[in-house]
Amino acid sequence: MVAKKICFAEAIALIIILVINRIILGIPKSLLVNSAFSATLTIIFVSIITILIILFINKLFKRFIASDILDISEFLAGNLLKKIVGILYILLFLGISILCLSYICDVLKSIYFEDADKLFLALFFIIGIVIVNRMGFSSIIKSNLIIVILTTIVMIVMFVLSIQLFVPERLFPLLGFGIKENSFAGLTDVFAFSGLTYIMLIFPFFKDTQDFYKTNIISTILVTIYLAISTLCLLLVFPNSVISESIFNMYILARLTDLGAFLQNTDFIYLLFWILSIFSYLSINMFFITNIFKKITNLKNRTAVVYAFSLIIFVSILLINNITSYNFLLNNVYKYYMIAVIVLSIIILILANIKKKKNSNKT
Amino acid sequence: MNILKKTISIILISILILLTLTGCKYENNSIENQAYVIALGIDKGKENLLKLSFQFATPSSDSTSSSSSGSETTTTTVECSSISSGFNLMNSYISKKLNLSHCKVIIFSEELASIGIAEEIQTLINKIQIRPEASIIISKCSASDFIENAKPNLMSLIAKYYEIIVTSGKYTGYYYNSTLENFYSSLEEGLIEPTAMLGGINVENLHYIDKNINYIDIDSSYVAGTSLVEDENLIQLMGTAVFKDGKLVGELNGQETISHLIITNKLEQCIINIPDPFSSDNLISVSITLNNTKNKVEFVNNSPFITVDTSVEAYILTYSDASNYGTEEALKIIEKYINSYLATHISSYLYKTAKDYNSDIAGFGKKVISKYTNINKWNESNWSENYKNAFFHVNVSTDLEGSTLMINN
Repeated sequence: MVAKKICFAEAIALIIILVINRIILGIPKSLLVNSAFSATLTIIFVSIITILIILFINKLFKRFIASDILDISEFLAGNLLKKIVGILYILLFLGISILCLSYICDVLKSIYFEDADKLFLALFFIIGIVIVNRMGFSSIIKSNLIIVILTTIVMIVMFVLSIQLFVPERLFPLLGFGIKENSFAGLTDVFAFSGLTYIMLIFPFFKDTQDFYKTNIISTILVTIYLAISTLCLLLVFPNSVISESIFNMYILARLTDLGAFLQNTDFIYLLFWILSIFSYLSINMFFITNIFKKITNLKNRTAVVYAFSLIIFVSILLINNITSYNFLLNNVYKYYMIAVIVLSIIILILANIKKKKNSNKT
Repeated sequence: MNILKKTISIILISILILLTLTGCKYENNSIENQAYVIALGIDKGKENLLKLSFQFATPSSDSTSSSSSGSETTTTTVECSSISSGFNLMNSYISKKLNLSHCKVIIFSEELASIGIAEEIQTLINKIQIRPEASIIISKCSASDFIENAKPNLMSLIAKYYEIIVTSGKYTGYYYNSTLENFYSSLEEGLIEPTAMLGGINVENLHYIDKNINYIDIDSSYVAGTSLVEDENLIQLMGTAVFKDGKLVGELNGQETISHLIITNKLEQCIINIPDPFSSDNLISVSITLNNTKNKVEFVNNSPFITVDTSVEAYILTYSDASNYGTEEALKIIEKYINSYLATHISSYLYKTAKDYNSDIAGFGKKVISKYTNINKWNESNWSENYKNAFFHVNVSTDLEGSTLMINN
C-alpha cells in the first residue's frame, strides 16, 4: 500500500508535534539548566545553527527529489548502508518512543493514578497506537493535524495566562554562566531541534516536492518560536533552582494559571491535550519505524510488524525504573546518539551528492 | 465479508477496552470517601517534632436542611515526626481518606517559624494535592488554636471564609496574601526574602496601645490579635511576618505593611491618618491608592544606595463643618503632609528591614542582579548580607483629588 501524500500543513504539523512533545518531556528545562538566565540567547544561537543546517540539507536534497535518507544510502553504498542507516533510525525512534511513553506513564501515575500499575497505563497508549497504525498513514496524519492545532491553542492560552506571573528580572544576568559555557552547551542543544530526523524521511510523502523545502524552513522557525516562548515562560515564572529541581515543568506552570475565580485548577485540560499529542507523536514514530523496517526488509505489508514493535516498546519501558534513569538515558545517551545519527545522515547526503555529481559529469 | 470482519474487530476492540474499566473498582475516588481538609496547621510538637492540625469540612448529614445552611467543621490534631507521616497517621485515624485538594490555608505557628520552615514548605510544594495558591499564615498563637477559633461570623461556608479573609488586605493594606508558590519561589530565588500574613486570635489581654506611638498612627500600629476590636476569640489577620533564609526574623505592623506594599507595587487601597495642618487637635483620614513606585539601586563605596520614587492618588475622607479643605492652597498643604507622612514611614520601614532584620523583603535584589553579566559575579556580590549596609532616599508625590462627596469651601 502506498502511503498517502501529505500536504504542506500536514507536514508542518508532523514536525511541530515533535517540538510539542519535546517541550512536554522537558527540553526547556535542559536548556535552562545548561544556560540558566541566558537561555534566550542560547535558543537564538541554536536556532541560527539549525536554520543553517536546514538550508544546507535542502541544498543536498535537491539532487534527490522525493527520496529519503534510506534511498540515498542505497544509492551511495548499496543495500548494506541502507540497512545500517535503517537500523540506526529504527533504534532512534524506538528509543525516544520508549522514553516518552515511560515518562508520561510515570507522570500520570504520580499525578492521578497512584495505585495503578505503570504497565496498565502504558497499555492504553500501546493499544491505541496499534489501532491507529493499522488504520493507515492517512488517519495518523489527519488526526495529527487536528491535535497539533488544538494543543497549540491550549498552550498559547496557558502562556498568555502565565504572563501575570512574569518577573522580568529573572532574565538576568543575561550571560548566565558565561559566553564560553553557553556556546558549548548550546551546540548540544541542537538536540532540541530533533525535527531534523523526520526531515530525512518525509520527502517521499510530499504531494508537491517544492513543499518539502518550504516545510523545512517554516517548521524550523515555528519550532524556534515554540521553544523560545515555552522557555521564556518558565524562566520568567520560576526561579532557576525550581526549574532544575522540578520533574514536570509544564505541569507546574499549568497549575499556576487560572482565569480568576471563575476557572481554577485548569491543569487537567492541558494534561488532556498533552496526552493526545503524545499519543499522536508515538503513532507517528511507530509509522516511521514500521515504514523503515518495511523498506529495509522488503516487506509487502508493514502493518504486520506493528504488533512486534509495539510489544518491544511496551516491554522496554520496564527497563526505565525511575526518573533518574530516564534523565540519564535522555540527556546522556539518546541526545548524543541523535546528534550522531543526524551528523551521519548529513555526511551520507554530502557523499551521495558528490557521487551523483561525478556520475553526471561522466555521462 | 470485509464489513463483517470490520464489525467483529470493532466489537472485539470495544470489549477489550471495556475490560480495562474494571480498574474503576480499585480506583474508586468518590466524594463520600474523601475527608477534605480546609485548613492545615503546623506547630512545634511537644512529644514529637511537629504537631499537625487538620480542619475538615463536614457536610451536614441532615437531608432536610437547606442547601444554604453551610457546613460544619471538625478539627483533629496529631503529633508526628514529619508532615508526610502525619498525613499517614491521620489517614489511619479517620474513617475517610485525607484529601488536601481544597486546603485553602496553611498556618505555621510563630514558634515553629522562628526555628525555620524551609523544609516544611518544600515538602508541601511537593504534594500534588496541595494547590500552590494555598495561603501561608504565621500565627502568633499556636496553629491549632488559630484553626479552632476560625469561625466565620458573616457567612456559613468555612472554605469561602478563608478565600475571602486572605484577600481583604486588598482594601485595608494591612496584610498581603502570600501563597505557597510565592513563598517557595522567594525561598529558592535569592532575589527576595519571603513574607507571610500574620494571624492571631483577638483576645482582650493581648489588646494594647503602644504609648510611644503618635496617636495618629495607633490604628495602623497593631499586629494580628492586638487591635482593640471587641469580638473575642475570633481570628484576625494583620501585619506581615518577615523571613530570612526560611526563618522568621521579625514582623511588620499594619502601617509598615502598607509601606511594604507601596515599595513592592502591590498596594491597592488603604486608609491613613495624617495630622490636620489647620488644626493641631485633629487628624485627617485619607484614602490612598498607588499609582507607581520606581526603585533604583546604586552602589556607593560598595554600600547600596536605594532611591524610592513613589506616586499615590489620595482622597480626603474626613468631613466636618470645621474642616476647610476646599481651596487649592489647602489641598497643596495637605498633599505636602501626606508626602512627608508617607516618606517618613516608608523610610522607617526600609531601615527596619535593612538594619534590624537584614532581610530584603522588598526585592531590591531584582534591581541589583541586572547589573551583573554572569551568575558567578552575582554570587560573589553576596547581596543578602550586603543589604544591611543599605541607605535609602524616599520621594513621595501625591495627587490629592479632594474629597469623596462633601467638601467645605
